[in-house]
Amino acid sequence: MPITRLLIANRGEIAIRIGRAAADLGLRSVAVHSRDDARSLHVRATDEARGLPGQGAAAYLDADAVIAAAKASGCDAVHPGYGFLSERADFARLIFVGPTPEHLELFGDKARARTAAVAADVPVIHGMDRAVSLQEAQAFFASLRGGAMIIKAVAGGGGRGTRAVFSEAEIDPAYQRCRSEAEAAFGCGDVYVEQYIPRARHIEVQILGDLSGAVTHLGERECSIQRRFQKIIEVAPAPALDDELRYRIIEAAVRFAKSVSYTNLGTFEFLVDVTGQADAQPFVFIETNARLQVEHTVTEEVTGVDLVQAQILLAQGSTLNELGLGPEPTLRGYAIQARVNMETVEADGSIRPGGGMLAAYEAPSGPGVRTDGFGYTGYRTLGAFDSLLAKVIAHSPRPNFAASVTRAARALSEFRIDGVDTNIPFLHNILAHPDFISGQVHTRWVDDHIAELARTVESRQRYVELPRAGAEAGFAGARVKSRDPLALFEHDAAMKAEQQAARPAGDEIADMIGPDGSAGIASPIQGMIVAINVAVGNEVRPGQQVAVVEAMKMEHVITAPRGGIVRKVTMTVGDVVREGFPIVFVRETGVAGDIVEAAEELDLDQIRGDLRESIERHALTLEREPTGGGGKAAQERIPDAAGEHRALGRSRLLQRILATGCSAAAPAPRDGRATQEHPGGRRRRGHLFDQRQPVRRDPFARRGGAL
Amino acid sequence: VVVHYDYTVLAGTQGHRNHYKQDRMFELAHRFRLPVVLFGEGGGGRPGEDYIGPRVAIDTPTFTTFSRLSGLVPLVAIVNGRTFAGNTALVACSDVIIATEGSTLGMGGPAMIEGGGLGVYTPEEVGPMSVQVPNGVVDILVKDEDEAVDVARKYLSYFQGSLASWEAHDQRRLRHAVPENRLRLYDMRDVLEIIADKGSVLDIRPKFGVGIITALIRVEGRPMGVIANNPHHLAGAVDSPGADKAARFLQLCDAFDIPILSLIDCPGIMVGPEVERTALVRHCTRLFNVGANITTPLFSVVVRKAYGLGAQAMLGAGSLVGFFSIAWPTAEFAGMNIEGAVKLGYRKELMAIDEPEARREEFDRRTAIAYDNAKAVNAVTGGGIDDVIDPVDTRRWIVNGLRRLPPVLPRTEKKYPYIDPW
Repeated sequence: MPITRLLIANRGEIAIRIGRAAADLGLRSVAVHSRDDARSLHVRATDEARGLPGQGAAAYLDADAVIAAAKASGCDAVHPGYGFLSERADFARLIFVGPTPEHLELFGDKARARTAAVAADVPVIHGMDRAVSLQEAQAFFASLRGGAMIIKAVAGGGGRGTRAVFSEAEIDPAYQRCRSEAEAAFGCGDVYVEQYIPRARHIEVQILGDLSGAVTHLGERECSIQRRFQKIIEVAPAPALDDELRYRIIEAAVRFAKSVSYTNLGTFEFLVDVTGQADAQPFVFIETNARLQVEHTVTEEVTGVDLVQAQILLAQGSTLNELGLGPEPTLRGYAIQARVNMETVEADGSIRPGGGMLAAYEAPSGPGVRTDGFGYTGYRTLGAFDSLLAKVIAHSPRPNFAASVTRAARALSEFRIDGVDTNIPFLHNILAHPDFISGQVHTRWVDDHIAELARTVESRQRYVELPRAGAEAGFAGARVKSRDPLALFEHDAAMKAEQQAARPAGDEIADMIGPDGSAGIASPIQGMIVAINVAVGNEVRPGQQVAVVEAMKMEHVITAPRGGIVRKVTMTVGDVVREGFPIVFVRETGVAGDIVEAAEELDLDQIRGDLRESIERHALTLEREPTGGGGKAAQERIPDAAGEHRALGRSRLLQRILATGCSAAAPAPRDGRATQEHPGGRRRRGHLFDQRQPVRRDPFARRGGAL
Repeated sequence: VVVHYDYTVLAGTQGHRNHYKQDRMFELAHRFRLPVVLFGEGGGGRPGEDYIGPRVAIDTPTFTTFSRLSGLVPLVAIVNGRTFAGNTALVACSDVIIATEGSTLGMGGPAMIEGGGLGVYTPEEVGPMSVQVPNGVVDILVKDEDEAVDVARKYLSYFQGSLASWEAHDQRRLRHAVPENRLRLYDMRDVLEIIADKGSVLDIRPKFGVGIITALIRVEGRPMGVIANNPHHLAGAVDSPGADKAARFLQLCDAFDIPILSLIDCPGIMVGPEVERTALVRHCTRLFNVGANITTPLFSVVVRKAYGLGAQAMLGAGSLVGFFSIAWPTAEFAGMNIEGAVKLGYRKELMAIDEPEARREEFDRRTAIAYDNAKAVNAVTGGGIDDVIDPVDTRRWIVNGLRRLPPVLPRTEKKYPYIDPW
């Protein structure tokens, strides 16, 4: 059943990737975009583009709207890409470029997938695939007989609501913590438990199946380089993997796929236990991703097969045989994919999301280098979407892994991205690490080495970078060590040595929509962030303080206009934020409490400390000392003449200050200088005329009246 | 004198007959010293009027007679609707422009724009209030013409003298108006509101030059002009629009002998390459030339920061200019921002310390000392400020100052040659 027109139900780099494959097949394609995403490059990668109602990810998740767009534009097929609707069985309508709805349902249900694996004689990781009580979690831990357990949020993803447990005593607190995190992040506190392998390599097998029931594989990939369960660098084939074990894993994946008559493209994921325990299973099945994956590129490079074209042809009814895919692929060398994300990894391992306007975007090239991305100069990134900006794929046909690592590092050093901070320095640190080059990594390796990997290492930039002021990323002025009082001068000296160049003027509209349609809370003023009072996952009430920005020494308290859950924090204490740039993104929810009451009752008669100090200082100038001639002191005579009295003479007080400093000046008697009544000071009462002359009198009680 | 263009007659355009009538009215206003209220709506000069012979069309005396009133009598302009060209010229030469929300105001209307080959626009696209209010052209935006008339009456009242009856707010609130935590913000308009007689504040150009508040108020019935820093904008630093606004307001008050109150919370003149691009150098210094030369009394009250040239600008060029210059206990005094002063002043000492944290500690220590010295009760003992007062007495100081000033003798000549439209 040939496809006449293909709708691509995705955005960013993967939508472009699919658009290219369709164009190369001579197939017309249609892109979709949310209202805020019309300037994304993927919109131009097809023959036509359609707007979706709504903004942000929600627009791409609206299955009915996407299908409506497909029908309106005359499409008879849809390719979902990855993420969004790609694994939703109810979306598999028209000609769906992917497996059948039955497969999507089977592999979308952890328990059924595990049962099917066992039925195909594939070893599985033990676990309870449903919301569990604390008692059930404890019983499951006991059944592992000394093994570790992991608690995960049912609604989870991204590592939130996830904790590994190694002893009986840890279960209760970890269980409660996961529940509360899951509740805060996803609005559902349910958690499940699974056996945890402390040291494991992530190995996955690329499977293809046609409608006749034939199944084959295109070898494996290794995705052990992960940061908090997010893949960062992927490799094909897995380096330093025992060939016997490799064969057994691939064989298990193919057997499993055949047992369910898997169709189209899918990835069967396994963990290889490298903990070193004698009785451990060497590898276990964890899950199947019934879709195209981010890291499909490395398989393409080493096999020479265009997987997206293969997907489309298989969906049209082509057989594996027709595609020239036999039982075993021919592999050439190694390929590495590095994910360039719009984020920076801080020294403490935390991730700071980036974004802004791309002032420059120049992708690397040359033999064996491929970049799948969607950036272009002038593009303003959107926080509402995934942070992936580009994938740099390096392939070396040479049989040693190190050759491809060298090529990947070279390619990354050519990648010029200005205006938006990325994780490229972090990727460089991983590629340069001996453990990575020798294949001695596991899924916790990045977390274990984070301090080492997050540090700043100077590396050669193989492109020309013009100096920029950095305003595009939301930072005002140069970024210097604000704790150092001399940073100002050091920066000045550094900049004088450099040629100033004009920076491009971009529109300064900040992206105010964040993940899940959360709304940004912006700083009303350009200034330095002195406090951030919330973290991702926290619940905030309307009116609650979320951050304090200091500008010109004044503290602006930034409060949440509405209640909800914090989804993203863009900056940290010490950063200088541009006016109108969102600092915190909050997803509005109905569960927030009352408006925080700020105002307290004012006691109008209260004399504050600062005023009391002033009153006490004034009292000192009114102290009486013996007079020389028996007359009145100036402080007493002026009120006689002018009504009330106001004393200003403070010379002796001043002498004390000069000698001892301000704080020690308090107990000083008044001086011997003329005291004067300021005409503005006090109202004169009970006189015949409105006296307007300042009254001056030399106080003879002091130094015989000498001035 | 009220002069009112009639939009129902040829769109309020200016013909020979209405120029003639206006000239008569403006001459009377001049001779008898009468304030003028001008309802300015209209399309400007009227092309296509009956041919009256050869003419150059730039000899209309109305613009001269009207401009010669500037500085002599208060000139109030009201804009309601479409106002362009010649009508705008008269409006803009007034002391104050009051405009209604739906109005559009511009030098050139759609016909002139199109005639210049510059495209086709609707009148509402040319000079809407969303443009003409924040850019400082319109002084006071009102809902409709009724409110415009009320505001015009109120505005003129400050030029008519004192009121016998008035009500004061509870002055104890002033003790709490400025937070004790010196970093926390507050609303300067609250301070202004409490000091003024109830219902007596008229904010002039509130949406323009927002760093300095300019307002007319009364204290015990006596009219005063107020300039006050707005700490919500650049922490109260003086920038170009704020300086322009305050400088013109000072001249307006001075021209009509209205005493001025300055409420100061100013960390300096704004700094940085962005503001220098606005020709800040020449804008902010207008406050010095104006302030040092006004003869109407200036009463200065430092409520919090008084740093450097910015504070001087607010003090009429220096703290000795005012009839009195007083401070609240929350005041602090310095030549520039205190951290910056410590960095510059102790640069060598700080450089001698290699260990970063020790360097920071020494910096923090010196900064703490500098802040203590800057505190009102300490700094003021050196002179330059007349006293540190209980905020509750602020109004009393103002009233006593006003009472002790000699009455202004009636003027036979203009004090200022004109009020600058900007």
